[in-house]
Amino acid sequence: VTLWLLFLRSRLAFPAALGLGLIAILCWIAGNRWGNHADVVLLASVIMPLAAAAIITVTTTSPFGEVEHTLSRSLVTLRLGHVAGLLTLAAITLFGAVTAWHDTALGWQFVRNVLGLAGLGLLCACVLGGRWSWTAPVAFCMLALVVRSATSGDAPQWAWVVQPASRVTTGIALSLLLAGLSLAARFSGREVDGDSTA
Amino acid sequence: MTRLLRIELRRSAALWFVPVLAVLVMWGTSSTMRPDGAPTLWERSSVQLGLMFVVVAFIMCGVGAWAAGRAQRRQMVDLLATMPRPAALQDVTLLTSTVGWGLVACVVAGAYIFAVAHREATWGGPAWSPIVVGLLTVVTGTAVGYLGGSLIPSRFAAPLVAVGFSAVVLLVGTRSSAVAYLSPLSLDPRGYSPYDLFYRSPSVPVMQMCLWLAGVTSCTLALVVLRRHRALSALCMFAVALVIATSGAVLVMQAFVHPPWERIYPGQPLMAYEPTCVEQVILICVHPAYAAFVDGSAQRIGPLVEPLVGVPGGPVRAKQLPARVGLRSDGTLEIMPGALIAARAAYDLVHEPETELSPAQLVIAYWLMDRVGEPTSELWLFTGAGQPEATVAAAAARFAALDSGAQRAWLSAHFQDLRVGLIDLEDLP
Repeated sequence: VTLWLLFLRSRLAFPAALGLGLIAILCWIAGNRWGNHADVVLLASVIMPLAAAAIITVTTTSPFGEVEHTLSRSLVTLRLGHVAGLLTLAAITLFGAVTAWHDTALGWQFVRNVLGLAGLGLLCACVLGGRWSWTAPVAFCMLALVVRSATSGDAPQWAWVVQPASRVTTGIALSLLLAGLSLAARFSGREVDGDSTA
Repeated sequence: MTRLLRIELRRSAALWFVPVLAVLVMWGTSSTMRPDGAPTLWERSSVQLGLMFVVVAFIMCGVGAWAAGRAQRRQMVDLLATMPRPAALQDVTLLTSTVGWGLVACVVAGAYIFAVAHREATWGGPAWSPIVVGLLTVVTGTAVGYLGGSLIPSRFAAPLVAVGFSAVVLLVGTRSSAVAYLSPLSLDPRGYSPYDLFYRSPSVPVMQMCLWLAGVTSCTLALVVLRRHRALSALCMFAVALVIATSGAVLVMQAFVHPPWERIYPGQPLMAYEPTCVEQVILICVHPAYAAFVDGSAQRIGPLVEPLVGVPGGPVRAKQLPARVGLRSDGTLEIMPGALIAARAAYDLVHEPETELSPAQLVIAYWLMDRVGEPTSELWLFTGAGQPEATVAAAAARFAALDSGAQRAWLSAHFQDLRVGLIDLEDLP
């Protein structure tokens, strides 16, 4: 337990969990006030999961670098447990918060988006480092919104984040999550914390 | 100062973002500037480029926050405090270098898009307003991010500030009140109408937008300076910046006559243009912006209308017009170049505008398309639900089985009645 607690503390998992809770509360309030505005619903279904995914992936940054490899226990379990725990928390809190919205089917869309965007962020973390992991999800979401606006709402399948929940889009999101998790378990937001640039 | 700026430019994290952001803008603009198979239009390309600059602003906002936290991450706060120059100078040079690289990415991508548009567009010229506003948003976004990064010294600062800034810009842009104009996204006509190019685009109060964005940037800069040095001069600077931002906001909200996405075309003057025409069975003309499509359109429309040429009430010319009018009484058939040009023309040929398609009309439209090998299923995109395709196809096959003389004789006698809906399915031969 002590090891788990120390690992989670080193990854700022507790402030992250607090942040996820705040996002869910914000989502609940937004749903109560503007839940029947189509534009707001669309933006919230992208922005709220994006914020949650960005918070989760940033926590993969390792503050120890190679020193962490001297641990006698498997790092894979710790890394997966940490990310999976935060993802579960984000999915549950967002799903619960969306019950305040008029279209309750949105819950699955929020969950799909947070999982898929977190997968994308974890992939990015392996390449650029945990601290830059938010860049790919943010760029992808904004691009998807622009494409959706330019195509009068008829966005292509790759812009799954702005599509209603379906088997194909859920499949894409879960594939991204699996790929991200498997790489995150191995590399943990790049061992050097991505802070090599000024 | 120049030396410090040179060092910051060389060591800036934003430098690594230049190729990525440039590719993102190039790809994003290229894939959205030709909606629904439309040709490359200068105006649409400029709007999409401006929008992609706003996306760059969202990312640069996070990069700005990252840059602001550098001294703390490197544990150099005390060291830098000994610099024999005003502390605000560090912020100004660091922010300038970060903004500079963001703008370089935009300019590189913009040059590529302009080259593509220059090569492909056959009419009009670039619209500068969305581009200028987009570039200014990059500056504002980076400055806001820098302020956020200065205030929140945490690894969560960059993503939270970037997502927060995007959320505010996007949400403000969705409002239906005048507040929406404060978002740079309000410059986007929200979608694309193929009739846009016939009319002058809604005027964008670019100067007012510049004042507003410059005001917000000045406010953030003043707050950064104020955080470092709580002096009366910094406070005055913030007050002036606040006045500029407020004046800009008020002027922007007053300047828009009506939302740019509300297309109020009737009564507006048409833009002068010389149509591009070819002769293929009948004269077929398109807007010069669609000049690249004229041959393809003629090859599909000419054979389609051939059985109706010379028939009373039939088409005598086909033109791309600024409104959806179908087949006019003077024999002008309105066309819209694109993938569905044939289905739309067949649909318009057989019935009067703003009436439901009857089964007999659908049969003749089906026959017109089927005889030239056009995909008949596209007709159902216009008619919606109704007659099952098998019934229509069987009736069309009976009509197609007639010899061309009999077909022409029947059309000469009944085409006008068919168009006004007086012919039933049983009346077809």
